[in-house]
Order: sequence, then C-alpha cells, then structure tokens
Amino acid sequence: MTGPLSDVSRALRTLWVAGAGTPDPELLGEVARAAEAARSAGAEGLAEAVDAVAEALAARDARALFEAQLQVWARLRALQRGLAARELRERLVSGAQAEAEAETDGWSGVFHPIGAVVVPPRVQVHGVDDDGTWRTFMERSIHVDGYDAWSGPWISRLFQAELSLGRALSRRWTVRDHPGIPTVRRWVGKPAFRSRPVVGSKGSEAKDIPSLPVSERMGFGRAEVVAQRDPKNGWTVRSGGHRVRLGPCLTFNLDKLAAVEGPTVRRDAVVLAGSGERVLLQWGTPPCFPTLDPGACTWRANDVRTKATGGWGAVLRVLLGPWIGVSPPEALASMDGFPLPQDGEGSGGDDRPKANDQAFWRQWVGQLAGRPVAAPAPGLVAALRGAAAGEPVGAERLLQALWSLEQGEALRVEGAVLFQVAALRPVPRDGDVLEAVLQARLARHGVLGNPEVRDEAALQEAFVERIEEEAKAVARRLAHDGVLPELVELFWLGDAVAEAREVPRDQGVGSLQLGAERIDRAAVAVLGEWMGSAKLVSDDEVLSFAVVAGSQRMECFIEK
Amino acid sequence: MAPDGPLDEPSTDGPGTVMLEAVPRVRAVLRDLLRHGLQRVTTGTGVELAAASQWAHHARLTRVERELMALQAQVDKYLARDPLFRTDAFVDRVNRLAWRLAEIEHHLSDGRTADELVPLVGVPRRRYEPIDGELLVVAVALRTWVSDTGFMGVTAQLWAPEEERMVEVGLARPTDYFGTDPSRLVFQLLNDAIGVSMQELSHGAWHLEGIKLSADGRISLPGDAWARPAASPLSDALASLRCDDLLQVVDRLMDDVLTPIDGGGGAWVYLEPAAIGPRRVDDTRTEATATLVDRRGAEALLRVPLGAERAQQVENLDHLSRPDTRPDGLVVQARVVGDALHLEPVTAVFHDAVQLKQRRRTLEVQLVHLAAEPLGMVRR
Repeated sequence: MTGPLSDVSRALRTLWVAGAGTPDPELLGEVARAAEAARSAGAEGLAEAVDAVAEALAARDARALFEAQLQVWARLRALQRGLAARELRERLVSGAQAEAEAETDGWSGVFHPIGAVVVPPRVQVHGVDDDGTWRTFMERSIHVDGYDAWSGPWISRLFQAELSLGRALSRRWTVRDHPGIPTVRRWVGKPAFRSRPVVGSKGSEAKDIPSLPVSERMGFGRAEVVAQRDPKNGWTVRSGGHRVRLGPCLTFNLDKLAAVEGPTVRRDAVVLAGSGERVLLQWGTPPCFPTLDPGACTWRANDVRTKATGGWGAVLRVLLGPWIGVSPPEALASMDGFPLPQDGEGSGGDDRPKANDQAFWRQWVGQLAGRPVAAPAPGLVAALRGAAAGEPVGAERLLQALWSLEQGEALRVEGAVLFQVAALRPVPRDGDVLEAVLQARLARHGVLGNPEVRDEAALQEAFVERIEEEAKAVARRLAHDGVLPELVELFWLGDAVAEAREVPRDQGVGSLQLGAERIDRAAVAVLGEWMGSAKLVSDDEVLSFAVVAGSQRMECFIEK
Repeated sequence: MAPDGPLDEPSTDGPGTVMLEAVPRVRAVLRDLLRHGLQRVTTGTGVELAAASQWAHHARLTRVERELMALQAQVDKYLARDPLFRTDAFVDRVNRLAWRLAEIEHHLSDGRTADELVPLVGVPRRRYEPIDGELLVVAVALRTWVSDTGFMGVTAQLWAPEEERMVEVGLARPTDYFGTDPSRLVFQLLNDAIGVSMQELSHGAWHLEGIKLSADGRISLPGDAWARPAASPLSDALASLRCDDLLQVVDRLMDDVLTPIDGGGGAWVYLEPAAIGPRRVDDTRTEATATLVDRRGAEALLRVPLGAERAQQVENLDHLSRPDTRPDGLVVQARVVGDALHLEPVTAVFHDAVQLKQRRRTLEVQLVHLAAEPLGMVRR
C-alpha cells in the first residue's frame, strides 16, 4: 500500500511545484498512473479523487482543481496516518506476551474503630475486624488538627477525602481489597492507590475488648487509668505502672473533670501499649475519646445552673440560658430580682479594691437575651466623668462605659467628657491590648488622633485598620508555645473586631481565628477553679463564659 | 470532509459575516499559488500572503492569519534556496489552511456564530472567565520549557474532576533576566498573594478560589486568588488518563491521528509498565531512550530529547529502571509519529508515598516530576 500512496503523493507534489496554469507536460500521465495505482491497491475513494484532479487539469478549471487536490490531500493524509497507526497496532499485538501475573489481593472486611493516635501529621486508627483481629490504618495526613482532631478537618490520604476523625471513629468502615502488611500481632494498612475505606452509616459495634496484661508491651486492651494533679507539676497519668501519654486535649479534659471529681481521676479505659508508654484510646459507655475530643468531658448543665447563684449568678444564667435550659424571660426576671450592688460590693469574695461592673454585664447579657439598652448605666457614666477629671480609671472600665453610651445612644451628650478622657490617656505600651482598643474606639469617635480627619468613612477605615493590626499582633504573640491569652483582652478585642468586620458582636472572639486550645486553657483555668470550689460567681466567670460563648467553644465546657 | 457545492445565504452573526467575506479572498490567494506553482513564486507572492494575513487579522481569523504568516515564511525559505525547505511540508501547510477555511465557511453557513468557532478560528488573546466558588484540582504533571522567543517557564498540569479535563497553571520568566534553567522556577511562589510554590501545587490536591479559567484550560491566578489543600483522589485523577497497555494508548490516539487539522498534539496517558529497560543516549538523534514493556509484553520507546533544559529528565530516565527508584506508574505524553509510538515520560507515580530529598528538604510525595525533581533521591 505504501507504494501507491507514494505515487499519489509525488503527483500532488509535482502539481504544486509545476503549477496548474502551465502544467508539466508529464503531469497528466503521472496523475493517471497514481489513480491507477491507488485503484489497484483498493483505495477506490482516493483513486476517484485523483481522477477528479485529472479531469480538472484537462478542463483547466482552477477552482475545481483546487478543491479536487484538497480532497486528494485529505484522503491521502488519512490513509497514510491510519495505515501507519494500524501497522503500529499490529506490531504491538504480535509483540505482546502473556498477561502479567495477577496482583496480590489485599484485605476486605468490616473495620470497627476503637481509637486513634494523632501526632500531626501522623494519624493511626486502631480497631478490630468482625473476627476480633487487631488492625491498624496509619498515614501521614495532609492536614489534621493536633488539638481538636475530633471535629476539625482531617484531610486524609487514606480516605483520599476530607472528613473528621470524630465521624470516622464513630462508624464502621467497609474495606475492600486494601493492601497491608500482616505482622504477628496485627495487620497494618497504609494509604493505598486504588483502594480506600468507606465510612458507613451504621455506628461502630461495641466489641468485647479483653484486659491488657500489666506486662504487655505491644497491644491494646482494657486497663485502669489513674490521673493525678499535683499543684506544682500538673497532671501525671499512669496505667498499670506505665506512663500514659499526655497531650493538650487530654489535659484540658482532665482539668474539667478535676473540677468535679477532685485531683485524682480514675477510669476504666482502653489503652494502647507501646514502647515505654501507653496511649489512652477511649473510656466510658458510650465511648468517648478524651485524647482527641476537647468536648469529651463536660460539666453537667444542672451543676452549672445550681452554682449560678446570687446577683452575678443571675447574670450568668442569662448568658448561659441556651446551654443550661433557662429561658430568656425567666433569666431576665431572675436578674431583675436582684438589686444592682454598689461599687465595692459583691465581687465574689474577692477582696481586691475593684469597681463593681455588674451594671455593664447586666446590660450586655440583657441585650444578648433581646432586651435593648434604654440608657447608659449611671455608674459607668460617673466613672467616665471621673476619668475626665483625672481619677485613675482602668481601660476596661472606660471600654464598658463607651459601650454603654453607644448602646444607650448618649455618646453626643458626653462628647466634651470624651475629649477630656482622650487627652489624658497615656501612649499605649506594646502588648497593652485594652488601651490600644480603647484608643482606637476614641479615635473612631473623632476625639483622639488626627483632628483634621472628621469624615465618618475615614474614621471608620482608620478604626478597622488599627483593630486588624492589633488582632494580628495578638495572633503573633499567641503563636509562641505556652502563651495564654488574657480573656478580658480577648473579649474587648473580639468586640472591636466584630464591629470592624460587621459580624455579631457577641461572636467577635470567634472571628479572631485564634487557636481553640489557648482559649480553652485560659478559660478552664478560671472556670475549673470556680466549678471545683464553693466560690460565688464573679465577673471573672461571666467574662470567661462570654469569651467561651463568643468563640463557639461552649459545647466543650457544658454538656450538649 | 470539507463541504462541496454552492453555499446558502449566510445566517451567522456580524463577526461571522465578516469572516465569511474574508474566506473566499484568502482562498483565492491559495488558488493563485496553485495556478502559478512553486517554481514561479516571487517576492510578490510573499507580499500577497502578507496582505491575506492582514485580511484574516481584520476578520479575526487568528489561526488563519498565523498559518498565512507561516506559509509566507516557507515561501521566503524557498526563495532563499534554504536546504531545510521541504515541498511536502509546503503542500501540507497550504492544504491544512485550505481545509480550515472550508470548515469555517461550512460552520458559518450553517448558522453557527463566530464565538462558537473559537477552537477553529482561534483568538488573538485568551479570555479568562472568573470561576464561581472553588475549583478542585489534582496535580498530575509538571513540565519545564525554554522557548526560542527568550522565555522559560514551568507548567503544572492539573486534573479538574468537575471540569473533567486537564487544566494548567504556568509561570514564565524572560531568559535575559532569569537565565535558562526553568527548574529553578519550581520553587517560586505562584504569586505574591498565594503562599504556595509551584512545587507545592504540583503535589497533592488543591481547592483554588477566586481564579479565572480560559476556554483552553489555562488558569489565571489574580491577586485575590486563594489555594488551600484538599484531599487527594490521585487514583481517580489518573484513572481518567489510564491505559492498561500500549494497545490502548494507540487506540486512544487514533482520533488524534486521523484529524486532518489541529491533530498531532498527542495525549496525556497514565501507564503502569511491567518493566523499563536501561537508558541509552543517542547523540546522532540527540535523544535519550529507554524501552518500556507493558503488561502484555509489548514494547515502546520512552524518549527524551537531549538539551540543557532537559538534563534532569534525561538523568531521571536512568533511574526509571533501577529497582530502588522504579515507580509503579508513569504519566507520559504519547504521540503517534509515522508508524512509531513516541512516549515522553513526565511524571513517575508511586502508589505508596515515598520520601523525596531535594534542596535540604524532605518531601513525602506520590509523584516525582521528572523534569524538575531528582528521582535518584527517592527513598521508600
């Protein structure tokens, strides 16, 4: 076939070189021979197209000749390429040998998760199959939250999907032909290329897990876990004489339990024995996972409600109404039943010389429960005027006063006072978040900063810029390990950020996007002490709960 | 096949009508070329072709314009008695252009608008359309290149499951200022706003937000674009490119082979070879090759052209056959050239993640991009 095609190709080339106006005398003969060759090779369509070229040449019809040679070119090209590809295909078929040996099969079955060990980016999920064989899936995940692996996003190589560890651990998995390595004690699977487990809709079955012998160095089973808190060294957790790994999530859960159960916590748990230490996987029925889930241990709503007594307790009931089952009207009526204490009274037994700011919190939680602020609190207005007269008034108190004036729409009335207050404020030190937020707010109202800038939009823009800078500075400070935030600073910074970013002001702390671990640790230090003692509610607890609510972490503190 | 016979009255849109008017004028120039023949062309022929390319330009027949300019270059080459001039290539180019004109005329006469014919007529400049929401992409390949026009670059080929096609992100720099080693661009950030380098983008899956996409699958990353890691369904992405053996590769390329115009671009293919032979360097043909054996025992050659910018790819070809660095699969660019199958290895695929040490960093990867990453530094 190659020969006839070459003849046609040559004829076409001659046509284009010689031209159709004064054709080569031998061209017609060459075209006729090419047509004959194509016909003899069985390419009838091509032969007809070449005949059309010959006819157009003879008739000296330039238009028909151009179209005819185009058809020849197209057919010739398709034939040449198609034949070459077919030849290649035949060569590949004849060169082929026997099928390669079949790939070895992996494990197929149902996997019941028992617990997970997360050390980012490594994730190990331990469980058993229907026969009770220990099976482990391990991976280096693309992303996993080391503190809140339970509900945080887990971008898994194993599942080749984004899910949460909480969802994966509370359901059985269907595994099909997953490659793995069987060892003496267990089977280990890693992310596979063509196989991934499927998380089912059914919950994981409670399997009978045997006790773990004290001397066991490799395996998992039931064992008592004893956690003891020493005021000097913090928590020590042991199981069968072995140390149990203590992470930030377990510490947080133990801190909450200690408030109710005291400094020693005992649990019958499922632990994993490893090299030199054990890892707590789960405890309780239904199982909870205190090493993965910050909300695994919570305070009972009834306990919190019972402890919320007195005037500050009534304020707290309004704030925690949705979580402790108190309706807003009932909570507000209860709060109104307590007279507002005077300055210096009712600070929860704290003998610090501090001003009473219950008026602010009553207005703040009241507004949260749907009661608008009718007028600024007189005590706060008095404090503001005192600050204008040179009395030492803290930044927090002034922020409360500003908030109350804003909400009571009485800012203009106190305009001159604000100017005087602003004039007396010191230059904010680096890290003094409250002073920075206060001065940003004063500048927002045009009483501080560049006196030539009075345009509302420009003032708002400057306010947003300053607050965003302060939020970034706080995030930078908290990036260092061990730094705990001041809750009062978070509250006021969150309030300002919420206003700047136009989100609900009671959810401002959440919009700061700070790590949940730091907020939990700072809040549990205050709230755990209060829950574990006979101490009355004070402004510290209200503020701490306000920050917890604002960062949407309440379900980690009070039962769902 | 191109249509024959008289055409009906045009029923297309305004730009389509302008195109329809330009097509016969360009065709008349080609017809003149046939009438005179190559042996009678003069510098005047080149001027006529240049004028025709202007008509095509004003009619927004971008591809026709470019082909006319290329044809003019070939005529100039003929007139200069350039030994690299090939009559077959000249005949091919004229007829490809004539075929394109016939296709354009046929579609416009059928009432299709100029916008619908963009793949056929081309566009002077790509139009990037904003994408609503996120686009999930999975990295599949990374290529480096150096152009004759003084640019070098790196292009990541990404599989977009929602679009069901390959899209690409590129970085290009002038060689005058950045040298001629494109593999260094791999470590550059995609842009100042996105804190993701080209190398990071080319491993794993990403959700891209605020991006723009052109009709031919190029992604533009404006300043407010955003990339965040996604789960990595690599096997799903490669399944769409997968061929079990070389026979399937040829079958997949058959349409590309038989297309009269715009073919020959080849296809992206994922193959799991049964064996890969040792590397051979052929200085005469300036290419490095290695034999690939598929699971049925059929053989084809992996080819990498020799060149400074291909040094890493040539080096890696040697490691494809070594037991400690042999990948489970290969992403190749496959083309049928004559009666041979050309496979250019682009990405080595490992089913289980491997450690790749590069520039004092150790990455955990499933893909090793042969143009920019050292396969020899892989540890299982």
